[in-house]
Amino acid sequence: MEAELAELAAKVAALEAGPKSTNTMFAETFYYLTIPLMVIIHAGFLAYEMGASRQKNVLASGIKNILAFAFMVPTFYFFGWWIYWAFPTGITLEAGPNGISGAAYASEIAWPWVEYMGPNISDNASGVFWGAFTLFAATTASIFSGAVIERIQVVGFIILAIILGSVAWVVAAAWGWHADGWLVTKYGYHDFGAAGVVHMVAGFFALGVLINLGPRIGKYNIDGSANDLSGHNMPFTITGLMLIIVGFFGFLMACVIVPGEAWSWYPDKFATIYGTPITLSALSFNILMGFAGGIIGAWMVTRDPFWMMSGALAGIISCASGLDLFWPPAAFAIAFVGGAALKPIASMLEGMGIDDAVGAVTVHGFIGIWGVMAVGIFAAGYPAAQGDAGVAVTSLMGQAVGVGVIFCLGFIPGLLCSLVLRILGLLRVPEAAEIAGLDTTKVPISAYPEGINISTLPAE
Amino acid sequence: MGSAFDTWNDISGPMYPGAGTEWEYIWFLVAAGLCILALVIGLGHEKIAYRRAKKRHDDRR
Repeated sequence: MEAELAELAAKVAALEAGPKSTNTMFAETFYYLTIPLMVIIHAGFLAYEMGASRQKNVLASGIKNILAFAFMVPTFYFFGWWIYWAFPTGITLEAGPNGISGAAYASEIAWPWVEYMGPNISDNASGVFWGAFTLFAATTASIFSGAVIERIQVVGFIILAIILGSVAWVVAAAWGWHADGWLVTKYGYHDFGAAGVVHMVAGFFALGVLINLGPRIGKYNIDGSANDLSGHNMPFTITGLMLIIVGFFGFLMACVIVPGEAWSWYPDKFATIYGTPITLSALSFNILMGFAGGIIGAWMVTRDPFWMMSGALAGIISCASGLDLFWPPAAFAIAFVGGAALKPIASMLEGMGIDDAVGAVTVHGFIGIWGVMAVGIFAAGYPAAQGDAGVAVTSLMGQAVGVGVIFCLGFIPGLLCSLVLRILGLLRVPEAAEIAGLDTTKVPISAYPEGINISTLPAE
Repeated sequence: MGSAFDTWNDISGPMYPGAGTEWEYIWFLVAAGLCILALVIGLGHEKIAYRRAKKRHDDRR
């Protein structure tokens, strides 16, 4: 009898272990797959920026973009990941209410030399979480990269990209994209898809840098009027933007917390980073509506395919903060406004002497503000975290506080660090190099060795 | 609009702002209306562009 009971207990234990193992493998695979999907964002930015460059700068722009991605990986490993877990409660680095933050916790799980930060047979989560966050970091650097093409020095750019991607946005994420983040716990700040903590930070960091970097030679006339310095390959740029849209599905997928694991919020439901419930169905509805609304809004105002595809991005950024909450037609309308607002905002910035080659400040900075505030306007009153009644709720004021803090986290480091680099002579390329072209100045291969020829006639 | 609950505990079913209220009709009409507006304005642009092209073509003849 005892032997039979023992055998039965062993069988029950084996049966319980099976689904648990399956869930663990699913969770690890889920986040692993978000990583190559997010790399598609970088393929998109690469095409986008190279197409938006004039022919004489095309490969230099590509090199800059590739290096931004490359340097994010080791720096986010060395210190970015630690910052995310250490800073949620603020600069005191204390532990937060959920017990998953503070300097002590971060030091246990996120320094390079701890057991979780390398191959570990017992750990199916740390690497894929870190990988997804590293791609978020690389996305911020890529956003910044496009704004400064054709006149920034490579090393100066990399230093700025590291500051943005492995420090500035990470602090914003710790404060506003973490269940213990003080913006969340005190003000109910809600930003599911990181419209604020990724897009706003990167967009306004770029603005700070652009103020010190200055416009491209030939952008402005003596009377202050602006010239159009078109890129040499608009089809490449537009295709790049569509690739960014594809990659965004991976980005937003990585914003979700899978159920059923020891670190999950729920045993049986997906959750946001804040521990509030969400479904992938909700995301499917609202992501697609966001893209569509942004494209259509931008088309209505501009009829320009560059702005239409930028509108797709703007549309999703407009809805990003509330993708888990909005009703799909509302998401469409919010995105439509984002897409329609692009050209007027870009023209305003150009009129102020800001030469943003790809509209990064417009699409990510200003539309990021709209995205964050849309939650306060259309989805106020929702509990911002898991827990019983009494947790902070979403509100217009809470989102506005978030906007103010995140603006500063992006703009001030961008402005100050680029000023230091300018003083050190590391920011802008010399005038002679800019006029001759950066490819001929420093790239050892030619983008179009045969030139760009007109089409040959077809055979008879 | 906004939320009718103060905790996520035991929430199930539709939970978006305006769920089950007249806001669903309002947002539906707004979204559909924006699509129609965009098409109408787009049609106007196209007509102007084709007319301009025809005029250029006729002037060259």
